[in-house]
Parts: sequence; structure tokens; C-alpha cells
Amino acid sequence: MPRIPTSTVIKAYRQNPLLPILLQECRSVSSAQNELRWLRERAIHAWKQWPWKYSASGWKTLLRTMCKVRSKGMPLQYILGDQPFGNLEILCEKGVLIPRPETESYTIHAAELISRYFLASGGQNEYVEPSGLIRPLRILDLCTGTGCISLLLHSLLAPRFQQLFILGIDISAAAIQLATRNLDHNLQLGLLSDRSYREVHFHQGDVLGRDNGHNPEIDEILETYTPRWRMSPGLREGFDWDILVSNPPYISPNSLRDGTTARSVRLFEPELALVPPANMNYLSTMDYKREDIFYHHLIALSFKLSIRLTVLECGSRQQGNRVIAICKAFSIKLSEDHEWTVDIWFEGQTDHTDNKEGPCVIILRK
Amino acid sequence: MFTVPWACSRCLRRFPKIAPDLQPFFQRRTVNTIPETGLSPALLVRARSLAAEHSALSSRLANSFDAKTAKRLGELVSVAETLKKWDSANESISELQSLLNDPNTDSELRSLAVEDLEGNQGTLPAISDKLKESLIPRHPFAGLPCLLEIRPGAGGDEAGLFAFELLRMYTSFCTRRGLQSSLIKKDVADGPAEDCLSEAVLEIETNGAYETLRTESGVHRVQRVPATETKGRTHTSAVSVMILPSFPETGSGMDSGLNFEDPNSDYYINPQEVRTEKMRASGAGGQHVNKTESAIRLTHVPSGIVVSMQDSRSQHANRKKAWQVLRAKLAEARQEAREQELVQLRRGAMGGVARMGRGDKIRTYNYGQSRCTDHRSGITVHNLDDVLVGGDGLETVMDSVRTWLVDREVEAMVAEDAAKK
Repeated sequence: MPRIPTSTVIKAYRQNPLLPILLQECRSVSSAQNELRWLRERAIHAWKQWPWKYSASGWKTLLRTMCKVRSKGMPLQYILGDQPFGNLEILCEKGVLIPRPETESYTIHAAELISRYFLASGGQNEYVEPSGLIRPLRILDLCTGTGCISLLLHSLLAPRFQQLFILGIDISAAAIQLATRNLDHNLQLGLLSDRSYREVHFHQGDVLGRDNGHNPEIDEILETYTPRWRMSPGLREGFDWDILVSNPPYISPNSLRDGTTARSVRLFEPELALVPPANMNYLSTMDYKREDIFYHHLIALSFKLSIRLTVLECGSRQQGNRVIAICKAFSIKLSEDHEWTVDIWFEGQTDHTDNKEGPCVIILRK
Repeated sequence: MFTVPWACSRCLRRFPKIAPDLQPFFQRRTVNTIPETGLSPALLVRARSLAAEHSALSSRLANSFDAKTAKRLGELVSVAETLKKWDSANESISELQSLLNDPNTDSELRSLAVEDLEGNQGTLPAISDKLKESLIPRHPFAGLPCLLEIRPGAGGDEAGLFAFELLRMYTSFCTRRGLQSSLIKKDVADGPAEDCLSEAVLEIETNGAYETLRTESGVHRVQRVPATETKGRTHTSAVSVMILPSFPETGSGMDSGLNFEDPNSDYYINPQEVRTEKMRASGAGGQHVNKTESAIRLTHVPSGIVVSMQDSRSQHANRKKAWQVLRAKLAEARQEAREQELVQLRRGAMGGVARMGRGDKIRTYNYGQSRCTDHRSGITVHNLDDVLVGGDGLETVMDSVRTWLVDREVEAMVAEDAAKK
């Protein structure tokens, strides 16, 4: 980390004595100023809302405490307790990954894709199966975390589809609790339609399918969420889910340590949500990288459930290319006769602000 | 005369000469208004031709319905109606005149006629004003909500401080008038002062706000002894205010001309022409970092207009707002260019037309004399505090400017018609 020149620190101090504290983490005056503004707004808000809590000290002390915590590297979102995501306000809590702006733009892109891909051309706001069955569009969100993707997808798709069904799955109980709270929170704020209460569900489960007793395997969960129309005989098996979206842990153990990952992420965000687990001994025979473990499972699931649209976030362009290779390998292995295409999409593809090292999404269409 | 130790206010009011004038004092300098004798013949000819078109259209509409015709008819109906009123008023006046001039009229009738004539002549100016107003084509953005941009100009910190006061003035004006407003951008200048503005954008979401606030575009000048001044000298600083049209989110249900998503629209912006810059460090993103920089900067390459936005914690929200402001700025610039073209044409016809652009000084707030003077209409309001809290004083000033704008338009129209002949 390059040293901040003393002149900058002094200049910042003259503007506001709290700025140098924030500079320790923010590294640039403009971003420190912004963070100070947001922190101040929140401190004043909290002070006005619960004056008895801070009556002795006032909001200035509260603000100073917030700045001190921030200078230690605590993410701003954990201090403020929320993060805007699309038009939603997602609550954030220690132990659950904070939604990233990249995920936000991928989700918006995914919603565009979904309405282009699944909406009947007749102008109906319904999803109609090729067999003529009108049924809810079913979306599976694996490693949901705060539930941000599920909720934003519902908020974006609800005006276009009469019926939706979204299921978010995460291994962490804390994440599932927070996701459910987020659903309630946004409903209360009026940012989500009332339908979302019926149409968005969160469930604890293990995507990797390890049998460790207390976490049900993903297959079991999906069985309990079998749609009602499947019960009627004469319908083909395996078309229960239309869309799979996921933002799985994709950081390698090396890049967590070698400085690629920011200090505040490494220290304060849950490793469970960042790095895939190590003890996957049954995969040891295969040629694999630890950061790619989730993609093997997700793509296997995508082929198994015959999912028509799969959207997976990857950490970098190289990882994206590896995921494409995994897709091809699977297709050969299963001798899949369905036509399928795989694309890579990244932020800035349309407005030419290319960032070679930034994350991307893999879009698998069948 | 007897002296009274106290005076009942009700008694006082009986003697208007004793009672002080309770009305606020407005002084009006008429600098350049056309003589109020009536309508110019050119204007009248125009009104007549429009009314003729109205009657032709309504007879056509009776036979077959056509949405386009109906719309045009709706535009013309006010002209036709006001003209009818004007005609009837004029007719009765001439009738009464002839009655008065007739030597055979008996005295009782004559006194009645005089009374009637006075009444009619009293209403005539109002009718002709209305006619003038209805003759002027509606501003293309009149029905839209607007963005109000405030930037300090010459004058350093003092200008920033006054910009903050103007922001407060417009905010409370909106609250008073029941206009829904929200602050979408507020940049404070570097320095210890919290209320020294470097730029602010206020969004007024109520439809028609553009028309209401259109009079405010221009440079506002302040003359006062600043808080930062130690020797008690009066400074003059300037703050520029811009009123921009704000386009509704979805273009549906709008005039096709204002639908910014339609490539054929005048206000369409090709996304290819806009460069987006994100203030972020290159390198790994996604789960690797947790950045809070959400600032976004849009540059419209052909015109060089730059909009940056960093108020929200969400980059997505910032981008949306930045696009809104960029769209508004470009639309205003294009409209300005079109008006400029018109002025060029008119200038050829009538030799020099005064036009108030956004670069012109439009109003002075003088703290020492506690007055607010508008340089366009020439009105002076001697209650600065009331103006600065967005009260009736401000409304009086804005109304006078609106009348001034109407007069200008009429003048230009008359000149144009005269040049055509």
C-alpha cells in the first residue's frame, strides 16, 4: 500500500479532523469525503431516531466511533447496516457477504435476458411452456447470501411476469435468516410487491452435496419444492426449473492471502462465502482448481435439471474461460444432444470501459 | 381637533388617510412594454386566422373523428373562445358608444349606458391579455417536471454561501407551493464550511414545474457584506441557476417528440456518444474487494457536456441520476440552439431583439437596502426576507417576469408577422 503524503493528510485535516482517520482505509481524499458524508448522515439520523441512546454524547461522538471502526477496516456496509442494490435496500450483517456492485449490474443484465428469453411474443405477461402450459417462471438462486439476487430479480421481473417462483439456497443459517429479514424489510419499505411474500423463498442447504448431517443436500430440497403441476401425470420429468443464477465463492486460497483480496474483505467478511472448502477429497482424482469447485457442481446441476438459462458469476476472465471449458467437458461427457451456447459477459462490454481483471458472468443457454 | 390617547384599529381604518398602507410596497418600473391600448392589428389577424381554422376543424371533426385534428382543435379552442369574448366586448362597447353619441337618447338610458361602458372597458384589457397569452405557442417542456441546478459563479466562498441560501429559498418555495422536490446532488466546496455549495441539483417532480420555474433561469446577483468580510465592505457575487426539463422515466404515453428513447426524437441521445468513467482502481473486483467508490462521470462527446454524480452509495443509482441530468442538459441545450436560430431569423426581420439567455444577469438581491430587483420586468420588492424564504415576494417577482416573457413573445410575434407582409 503506497504511503499517503503528509501534505494530503494535513490538507484533509484542515477540511475535517475526521478525514485523516478515514484516509487510513479509503486511501483517497475524495472517497474519504464521501464516506464521511454517508457516515454523518447516518449518525444524525440515528441520533434523531433514538435520542435517548446518545443523549449524553450527541451524534458527533457516534460519528467519531464510526470513523474509528472504519479506519480499522470494517466495511462501511457493516457499519451502516445496509447497502443499496438496484432499487432495493439490502441489510448487511457480519457473517454474510456484502452485495457487490458488479453483482448488481449482472443481476440487472440477467433480468433483461430472462424477459427476452422467456416472455411470450404475444405480449402476454405469462410464461408459456412449449406444451401450452401457463405456469410460474421458476428461478433457482444458489449461494444466495443476503438474498440480494433473488430479491432484485423479483423486483425487476414482477411487472413483466404474472407468476414467479424464486428459491434461494445458502449453506449458512445466518445468511438464510438475513435473507428472510431482507425480504420483510423491503416489503415494509414498499420496494417489493406483495407477491414476493408468496413467491420468494429461502432455504438452508449445501450446494456441494456433502453429507454432514445437519445440512440437507440440494436434491432433497428441490424435491420438497416440486411444483404442483408435476403431480399430474403425463408430464416430462426434469423441467421444474427454468433459470439458475449463482454467485458462488470463487477466490482461491492463494489470492486471499497474496494481496489480490483487500484487507477489509479478508479480515471482516466470512471466508465461507469467499473461498470454496478444501476437503473435497472425492474430486482429488480430477484435474481441478479449488476456486472452481462450485462451478463443477453448478454446471452438473444445470445439465441434470435441464435448466434453460444459467448465469454464473466468475472472479476473472481466466476463471470464466475455465468455466466455459467445464461446460464443454460436461456436454461431451453426457453426450448432450440439445443445442447449447455459452457466452461470457462483463460489465463495460457495452460502454467500452474494459477492465481485464474484473469479474464476469458466464451465460449458458439451452 | 381632539387628541386621543389610544386609537381603536377599526376606527383608524375608517380614515384611510390616517391609517398606514398595510399593503407591501411594490414599485414597478415599466421599461419596455408595448402600449396597453389594445391588440396590434397583426396579432388580431393572426388570432382571426386561428379562429377560422378552429371553426373549419370543428366542422370537419363533426363528420369524422381524427385524433390529430382533435388535438389541434384542443390547442386552438382557447384562442377561439377568447377571441369571441373579445369580439363581443368590443361590439357592446361600440354599440354603447353609438347610443351615447345619439342625441335622441334620454338621460336615464344615457347614465345606464355610461355605467355599462365603464364596466366593459374595465374587462377589455384582461381579455386582450388572455388572448395574447393564448396566442403564444406553448413551450415544448411546459408540462414537464424540472431539474433546478445551482452553481456559484464569481465571488468565491461568498458565492457558495449565497448559492446555499438560494437552494434553501427554492426548497421552501416548492414546499409552500406544494411541489414535490428532492435533492439529487449536493456538492459542498472544500473547506471547513458546511454550507458553501459548489453545485446542487434539485429535482422537482411535479408535472408542469418547468413552466412554473422557467423564469428563474439566469444569473442571480447578490450584494451584501459577507460573513467572511472583516472590514465591512459590500461585495457583489453571482450564482447561476438553470432550469432543465426532466424527462419521465418511461417515454410511454408521452408525445413522441419528448420520448427520449425514440431515436427519431429530438432529445434522443445515442449511448455510443456517451463515455462512462467509473472512478475506481483497476485490478481485481467482485468478491476480492469491497469498494465504496460509487462515483460516475458521463461525458457526451459531441457536445462536451460532463455530468458527474457521487451522492448515492449505489453506482447504479448514480448512473441513473447522471443520465437524467445529462438528458436534461442536452435537451435544454438543443432547445436553446433552436431558440437562438429563431432569434437570428427575427433579428433579420426586425433588427435586434433582446433575448435573455442563461448568461445574463436577471436579478439582484441587495441586503443593505433589503430589496430584490428583477432586471427583466423591472419589479422591485422591498421585503428581501420574504423573498429569501420563498414567500409571496418571490411569487410576485416570478409573476411579473412571466408577464414580461409573454410580452416579449407577443412583441416578437408581431414583428415577425409584420416582416412577412
